[in-house]
Amino acid sequence: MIPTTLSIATRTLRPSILRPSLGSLRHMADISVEHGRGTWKTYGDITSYQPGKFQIKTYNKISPIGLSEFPSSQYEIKEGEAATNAHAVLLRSHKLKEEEVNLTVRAIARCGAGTNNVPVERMTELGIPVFNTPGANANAVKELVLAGMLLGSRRIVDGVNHMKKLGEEGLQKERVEKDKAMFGGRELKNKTLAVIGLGHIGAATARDAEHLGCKIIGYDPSLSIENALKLPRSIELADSIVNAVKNADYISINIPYIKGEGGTHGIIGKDVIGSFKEDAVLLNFARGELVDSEAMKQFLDSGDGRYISDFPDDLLWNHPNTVLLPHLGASTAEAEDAAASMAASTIRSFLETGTIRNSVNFPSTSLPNCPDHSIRFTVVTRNVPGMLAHISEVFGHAQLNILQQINQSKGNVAYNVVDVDTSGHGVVDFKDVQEKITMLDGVLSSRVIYGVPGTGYAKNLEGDYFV
Amino acid sequence: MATMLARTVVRVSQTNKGRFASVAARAFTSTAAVSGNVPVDFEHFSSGWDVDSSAVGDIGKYHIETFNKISPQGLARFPSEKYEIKEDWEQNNAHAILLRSHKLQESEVDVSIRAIARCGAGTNNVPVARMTELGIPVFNTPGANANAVKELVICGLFLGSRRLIQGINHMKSLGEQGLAKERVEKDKAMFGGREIVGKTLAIIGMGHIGAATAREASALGMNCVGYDPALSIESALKLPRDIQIMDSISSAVSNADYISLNIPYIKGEGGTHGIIGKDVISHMKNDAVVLNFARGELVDSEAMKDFLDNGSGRYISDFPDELLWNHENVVLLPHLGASTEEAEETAAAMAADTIQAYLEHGTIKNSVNFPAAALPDREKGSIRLTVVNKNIPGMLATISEVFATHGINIQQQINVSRGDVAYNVIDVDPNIVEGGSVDLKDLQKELTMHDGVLSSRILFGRPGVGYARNINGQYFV
Repeated sequence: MIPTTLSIATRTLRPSILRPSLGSLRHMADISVEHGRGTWKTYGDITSYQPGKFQIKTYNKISPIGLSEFPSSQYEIKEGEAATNAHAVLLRSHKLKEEEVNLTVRAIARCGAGTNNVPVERMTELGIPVFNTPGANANAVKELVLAGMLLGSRRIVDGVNHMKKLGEEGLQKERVEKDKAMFGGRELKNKTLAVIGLGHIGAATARDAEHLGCKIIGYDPSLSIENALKLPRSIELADSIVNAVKNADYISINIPYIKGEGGTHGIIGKDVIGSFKEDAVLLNFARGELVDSEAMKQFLDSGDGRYISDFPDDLLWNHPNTVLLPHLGASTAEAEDAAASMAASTIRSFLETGTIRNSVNFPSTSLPNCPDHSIRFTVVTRNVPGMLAHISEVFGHAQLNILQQINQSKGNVAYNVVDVDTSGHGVVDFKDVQEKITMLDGVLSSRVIYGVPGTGYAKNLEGDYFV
Repeated sequence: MATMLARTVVRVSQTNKGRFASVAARAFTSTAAVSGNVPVDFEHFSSGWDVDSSAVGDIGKYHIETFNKISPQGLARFPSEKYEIKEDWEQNNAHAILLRSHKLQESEVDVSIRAIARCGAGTNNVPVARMTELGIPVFNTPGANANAVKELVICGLFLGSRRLIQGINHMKSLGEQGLAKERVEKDKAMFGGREIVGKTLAIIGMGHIGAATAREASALGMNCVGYDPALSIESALKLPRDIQIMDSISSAVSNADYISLNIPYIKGEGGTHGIIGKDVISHMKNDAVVLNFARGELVDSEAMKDFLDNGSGRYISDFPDELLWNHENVVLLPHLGASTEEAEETAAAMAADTIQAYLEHGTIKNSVNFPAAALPDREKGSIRLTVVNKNIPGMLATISEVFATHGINIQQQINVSRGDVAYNVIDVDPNIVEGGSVDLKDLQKELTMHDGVLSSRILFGRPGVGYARNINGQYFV
């Protein structure tokens, strides 16, 4: 192990981030990474800085089990504004503001599926990947959907409230047998359930409803092989939502909410609802806006159908054939643990190896393990022509051989992971290389994934170099 | 070949003639159900069948009297050419009663009633002990409700895992204030909880309902443990293969996150009243969810209240509870366990089938007071008789002697007993050695009037005839 020497920029700036950290260095050539220049506009209090650890900034109460995924030798976790040097942000439903995203933040992870509380587009512009936790909540939501099917089969909520009222009047035992007739209904067994959307939650719901004796019909225009393998073998696939629902006694919506043209706002509208059986039970544990409330109200008024949801509804909240729960789909200790663990693991992969998975704005990227005698660079660029060429050129001019690399793009952003050969070289001046790369037109940020946690991140903010 | 015989009904005036209705003032004829060439003579006469014969419905059908609204699909199991179903029959014209939860009075059970069937599991609304004294079998429908109750227990698992009812009521109250959208994300934290997958469910009692619940819960990812001291092979075969059987209620509940009670309520000494009491409850985890969809009296409410006050446990039930109805960790539903169309249909159909098997073949199954009895199908040409008697020594000998005296050969017979009552099904060969006619009228009277006999029936061709009773030494037919 060869310790690095650091040259600290003698500027008005506070000292930079690198410290020698022997334990985590790989066998390599002398490497000098000098960081300096540019003004840290939002640099925190240096005395709070602890060298050698990644700092995770959390908002909301994150499950301790999830947080324990971060080994304490390499990570420290601070809440909210106490994290003055945050390298990554972990949050639940806190509404994240741009100013809360320190310049030092490399990544944002949401413990949950939706990311409406994160200004994703702005993060993409800044070259910061946003991650979510698809599937972590699946079992929690599924159990609530099953409960919803049962709540929609007998008038259980009305019955429980009626029993309370009778209790107040001291009439429970006297009236229970007589009054129960008002709350009876039907069974799930041998009924048909249509599942619209066959991702993690839809597939899990289909499997369990089949165990309860339901016949399953599914619809999903973008059903993947991976998801198909999770479906019950007996499922029948329909070719449209209308065809899926027309013979269904129960209907579960499990699709994402996508705003705008061609999106899914009000997708369960007059047409679809017009195809329902008149005593169908609609279960919406996906998003309130998927259902056209006016059309649903008409349906409920003119038949014996039911609407069960865990989203509020201004028009239907008081309808006798509606049961609205609070948004409890993911509100279980297990889901919170699973989401936090998944988010932690995603962050670790990104920070420690540059791997991207479960990102809502960045492309999935995974380069095999860094070979010996190499250093890993990651570069975030705008998705414009020529970037890959320019980056490669910089390495070329520095006589650095690229051992392996991957380049992916998504939307307006592109991401590169490059493993560069360090063997056979003397003192290698990565500082310079990083600066050159980062200041290329179109590059947003770069990282040298190198031994010491928390070091090696450089950003190109409108022509200014930050490191 | 049927021999159609006309018989006149002989009226025998008795002092209590007001009690009975006349079945017919005209003749009975035997139907083609008897094959063979031997003329069969059974003359029926009665002690005071009073009602005007024109009021009698179709001769030749069984008359089913119903109380409560019975599922039409269930009633459709009675073929209409042999059965007539009404809610109100003239007195002493109904042959069997079908009911749900109507509280049956003895006065509603006419002398002509051969059987009572309850569409449901419990029979507390029927005076069973008295019916046994009168020699009338009471039937129920075990298992008909199993799926309905099971689905409610599964719902109970979820109702006990997150505070769904409280959350729903909270949303209503927010709705009234126009604050639903504003507060839903913030307030939801009050109602979260846990999942059932990977948790342990203890099932106390593994009959139809307990076994179905175990299978379902296992399919949903739960670990199941069970306790049932009287587990039969038949029931065991319905359990999920990986269930763990425990040797006491306390050991079953001790590691359980959820506990479901599925045992019957038996009053009295050695019964199950308050069986879930202080001792058992003290073995429960302090956040256990107790599901009682069996009977309210199984649980000691005081002990349950202590448990709920001192931990984060839950009690979910579909029986009222005067002490716990208002507890914040309790969810009480109305008694909806069997309140589904499907269960009502299944129960009615099962009850109808049971009645038919009894009336047409003398078979007894699903009876709560009579012993199970099934004699194989009678041989062509034979006549089947059934005899109900008190369970005292010597009855079988007495009955057999009556047949022997008349020279009638018994082809097959079965004798079973249960509690205070015994039941016989006897198939006889109507061909007697001398070739004369078989005078079943006399035989039946002789049989029935023996001390200890309660009633007898000749299952002979025509529905609705052939029933004779010995009520305190008086002969009714």
